[in-house]
Amino acid sequence: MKIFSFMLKKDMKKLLIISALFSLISCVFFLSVYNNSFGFTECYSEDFKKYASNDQALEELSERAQDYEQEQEQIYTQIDSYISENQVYAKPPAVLTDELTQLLLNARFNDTELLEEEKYENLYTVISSQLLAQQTAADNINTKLIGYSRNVRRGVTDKYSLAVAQKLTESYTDILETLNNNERVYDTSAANSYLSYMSEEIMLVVGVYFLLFSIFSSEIQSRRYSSFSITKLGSKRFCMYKTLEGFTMVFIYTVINFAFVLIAMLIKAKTLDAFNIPIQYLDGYEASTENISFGKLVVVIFLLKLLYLFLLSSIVMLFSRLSRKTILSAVLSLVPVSLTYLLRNCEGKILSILLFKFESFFGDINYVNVFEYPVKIYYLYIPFMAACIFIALMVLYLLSRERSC
Amino acid sequence: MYGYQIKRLLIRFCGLIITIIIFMTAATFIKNYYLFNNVTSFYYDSDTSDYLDELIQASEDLSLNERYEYIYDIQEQIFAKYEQDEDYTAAIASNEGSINNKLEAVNQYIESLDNAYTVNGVIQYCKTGRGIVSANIPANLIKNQAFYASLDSPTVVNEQPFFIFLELFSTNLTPIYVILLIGFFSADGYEKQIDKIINISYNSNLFYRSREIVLSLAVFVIYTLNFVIDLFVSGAALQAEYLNASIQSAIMFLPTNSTIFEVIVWLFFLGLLHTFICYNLFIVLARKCRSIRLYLILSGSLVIICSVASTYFTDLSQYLFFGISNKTYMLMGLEYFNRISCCEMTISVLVSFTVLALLIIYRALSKRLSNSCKRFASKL
Repeated sequence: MKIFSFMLKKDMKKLLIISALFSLISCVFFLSVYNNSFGFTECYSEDFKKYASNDQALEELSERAQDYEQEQEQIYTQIDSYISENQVYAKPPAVLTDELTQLLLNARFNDTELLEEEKYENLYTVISSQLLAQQTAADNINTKLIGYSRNVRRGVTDKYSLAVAQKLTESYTDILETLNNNERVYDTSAANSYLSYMSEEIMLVVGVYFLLFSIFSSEIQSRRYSSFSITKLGSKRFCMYKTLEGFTMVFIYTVINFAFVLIAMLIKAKTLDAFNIPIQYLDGYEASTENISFGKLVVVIFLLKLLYLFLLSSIVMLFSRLSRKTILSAVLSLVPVSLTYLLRNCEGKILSILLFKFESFFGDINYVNVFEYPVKIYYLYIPFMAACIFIALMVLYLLSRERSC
Repeated sequence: MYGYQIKRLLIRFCGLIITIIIFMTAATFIKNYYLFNNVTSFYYDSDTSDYLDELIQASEDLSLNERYEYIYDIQEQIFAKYEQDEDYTAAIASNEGSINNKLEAVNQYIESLDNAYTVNGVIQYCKTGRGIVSANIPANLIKNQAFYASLDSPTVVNEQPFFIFLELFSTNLTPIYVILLIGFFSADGYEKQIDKIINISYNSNLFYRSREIVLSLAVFVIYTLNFVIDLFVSGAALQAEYLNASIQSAIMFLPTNSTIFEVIVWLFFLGLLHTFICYNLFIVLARKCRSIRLYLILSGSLVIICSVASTYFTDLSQYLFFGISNKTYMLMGLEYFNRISCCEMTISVLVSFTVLALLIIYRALSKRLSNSCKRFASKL
């Protein structure tokens, strides 16, 4: 243990600097994702509170938005009808009249009054879509529930479909209870941006690569490894302590990264209430079969992502152990790290396990057919990852026999 | 000394050179295959492209107005010819044969012609006050009215080779090759402190000069090879006819008065400047941090962070020198600055050139700087 804590303290400064830097950059990227969707007002969460709790203000806003939309539509339909009326076959398109040209230019480039109206129209569209999602969530689940119980009554005889239908009716009844008991209106903007950022983010994998690509190869290149092998410590225990240190570094880095991005999300959401949102209110998770809230989803994603990063780190450490020069291990370890990025657009259940796409774990019906018995997909993911980590560590252990190199 | 450096590069590190060349060609061909066999891709197959080239060549001398009559005549001829056959409806329904390719080519021609006419309308409006033909107008029309009035009118082109070239050039992994070259060639030596021995030897100036020239040549050759392979695989180099058409034929409302050929040359020079900025900065890093691990962490994280940032902030991707960015989005995000009356293309070249010049001056003076500081300190 003394040796392990000595190794960790020696690398603590480098670990903290890299974690802080990459987590800050991760925050900057998350904020740019948030601003792209909700950056048209100064503080979206305050505007949401103002309009969502006050029915009259929401109606005024909707009238204002409708007026703006109608004006814009009028102009564009006028232009379209003029173009289609004056279109001659096999001749170039007709030139717009001066009046229409002036209307078009006034509609596009204008005074700041129109920009304000456009901002209110965007505000109304986004707020109303969020409120609609929350109001119709229970009805959506109800229709699905009716559909699945009807399958059972209609005499479907396929054993797997019956088992799935039974499990789905149970989970959907629980979810319906939670949704019907909930009477609050939540602001889901920050949670939606957080989930969409986490499904495409890359700084975690990059940080693991930079922390661990030289963990063994630098020791081999500088002959420290062979010096340790002939001491009482031995090469096997040295390797074991080094591997533990690698896993600890990855754990600390993941915690710091998640903490930074969550703090950025809470700053934008301005309340701690975001953690109580049932995930059926969120974008892309309307048909989810899990009866959990957003806070629990974040914790589950953290644990499963940690398992995935442990697998990546054991592969990187294995490649680092195999190469005698640091620069070779940098090139070799780049291969599994870049594969996770290159294959991110491909589809398939096996790839979603291998690359940990959590939208398919929690977003829709997440049962898999295993010998005619429905199993949740993350119950397959955990043993698979654990087995792969075990195999990688076994190979590393077998390689760490006594030899001078 | 030059022979020594070249032999070291080509014979001792031949594995690295071969790996780089294999990766370069493999990346280009795999990306090309992926572009053409992707279900949702809009790139059309080679028969359509060939027939479109024939149509464009046959209508070279026509003005925009005359091209409308020409292309609708061709469309009627195709329909009339196939109406005589009995299998006309069957051929259309079964999606086989060349009739669908020809109709597709005709549709592409009409679309390109409509786009060219829209841009022409905007130019006429800026000159005379009348002429806009659709609601599709550029974002800064009123501010840049004088500039748009000075543009040339676009024509119909087959824009597919140009866009494929942009997609292939987006996977230009030269910063990573530069990291590896410098890492194997110099950073190893700085870690083992061989440069302190070389500094007190007779041939030190010749050694550093020869290493500099050989490495710069190698980086230049790698970058140019990558560029030329992308250009030939995409077919953009083999079509001399459209290279003289103005860029507004391919990308509507790009605020610059250049042809497609000039835009390709601009891309080449910008990439070259970025590559040499990477090269100079990474050599400075290799000398300052005398350890390969730190050098790889710093240079690698620079490259990766700039590449990821260029997907989130596409308007700034020309100023992120170390990154691997998507060139299509970079071109679509260019602006025109009215007060200095120049396009962002010249400004990005100027900024890159300034940074490169500063780095080279720093490297040239740093030895003399440190020597003069030591002499000054010893006098105190």
